Amino acid sequence: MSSGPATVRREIVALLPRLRRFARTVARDPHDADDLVQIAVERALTHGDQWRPGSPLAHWIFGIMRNAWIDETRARSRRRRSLAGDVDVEELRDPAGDGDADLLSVEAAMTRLPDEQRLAVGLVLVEGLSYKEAAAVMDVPIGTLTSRLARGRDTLMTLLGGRGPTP
Amino acid sequence: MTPSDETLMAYVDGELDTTARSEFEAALARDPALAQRVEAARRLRTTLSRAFDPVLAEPVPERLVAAAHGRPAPANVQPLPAPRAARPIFPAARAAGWSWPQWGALAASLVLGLLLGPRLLSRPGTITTQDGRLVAAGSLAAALDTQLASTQTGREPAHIGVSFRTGSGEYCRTFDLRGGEALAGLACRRGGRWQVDAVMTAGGERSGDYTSASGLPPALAALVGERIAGDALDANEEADARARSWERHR
Repeated sequence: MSSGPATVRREIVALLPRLRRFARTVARDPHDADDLVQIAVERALTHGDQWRPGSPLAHWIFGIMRNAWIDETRARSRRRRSLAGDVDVEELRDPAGDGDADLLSVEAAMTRLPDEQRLAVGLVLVEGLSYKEAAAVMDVPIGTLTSRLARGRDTLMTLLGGRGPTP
Repeated sequence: MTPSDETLMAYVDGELDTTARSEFEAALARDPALAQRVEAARRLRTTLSRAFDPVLAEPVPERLVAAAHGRPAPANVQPLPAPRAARPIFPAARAAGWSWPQWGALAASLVLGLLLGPRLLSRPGTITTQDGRLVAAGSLAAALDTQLASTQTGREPAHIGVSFRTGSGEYCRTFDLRGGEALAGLACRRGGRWQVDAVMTAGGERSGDYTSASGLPPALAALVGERIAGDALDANEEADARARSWERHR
């Protein structure tokens, strides 16, 4: 009753900022990230009947984004890998200064993670999903989710560890 | 016994049950090295939030809003149609003498949707996020709660344009935030708060007072047209709705 197409559309519009944030943790390039959101939104509207209204709409769309991203990176992996190498070096040294340099480095560090670890980090550490919810989005057992999250977190802490008060 | 890395991670992520959490905190209290590792893990969460949360405040590209509405994406960003002649659904806006002097010029950069320019951050406290949704706060929430479109002086920090009911009985109100850049949006009363369903901004400073004639920005008008059931509220209906705290009306 409350899940008619118009309601779903309205909810998706309201979710767009969050979908964009999640996409940005997945895809380094902001245009790629918005492309990912657009693809996911279009698929969500086409397959709206597959959403179970008991689960959060956002999580369902995160799952669509994850699948779309995995498909996309498989298709473009070679090109992407060569591009990523160049961009990382350049931006890690970006002297843009102050806050911006930090942000670039965080994003650069994220791109060092394998896709599945980056998705786990994005879902749990940025989007605030529980392990159970994130595992459902990624369609893996909780143990797989936590091990990907642990490895992703370790790598990020190593890469970003120099920042802030040192332990 | 030193807790495992896995337990430490689950603690930082809020995944331990009460018993496990108490045990962990007991270990934490007597192990400074463990406390430092917890601190480092928390710092990573903060660092990630600082890097990615600003995306929430970025303008949402029009093509994404179009996609969410099931429309084909615009081929490129062209000025939106000129403001429509005032439609009868907006009597309150006209009665209030509300003006959007620069909306024509800014139509080219106008984006519809949840669209908060970064400059909104310089006016903190008017719109915030709760549970991943944008909700009105501070002076904007106060204006939405109490201001009647018909009795505004034009000097309020937030201006109410038009109030109406949707097909499901929800109350929604358009608003405008002044100070700096023109920023207008639509808030709907849902779950005891004002959820901001759309905010749109424009490229330039908005000048002068809100005294000259006519209408809402076209993209906002279109959204209102999509949602509204019946006519906009007149002065009496608005006062009644306020008296009921804007709770859903059937």
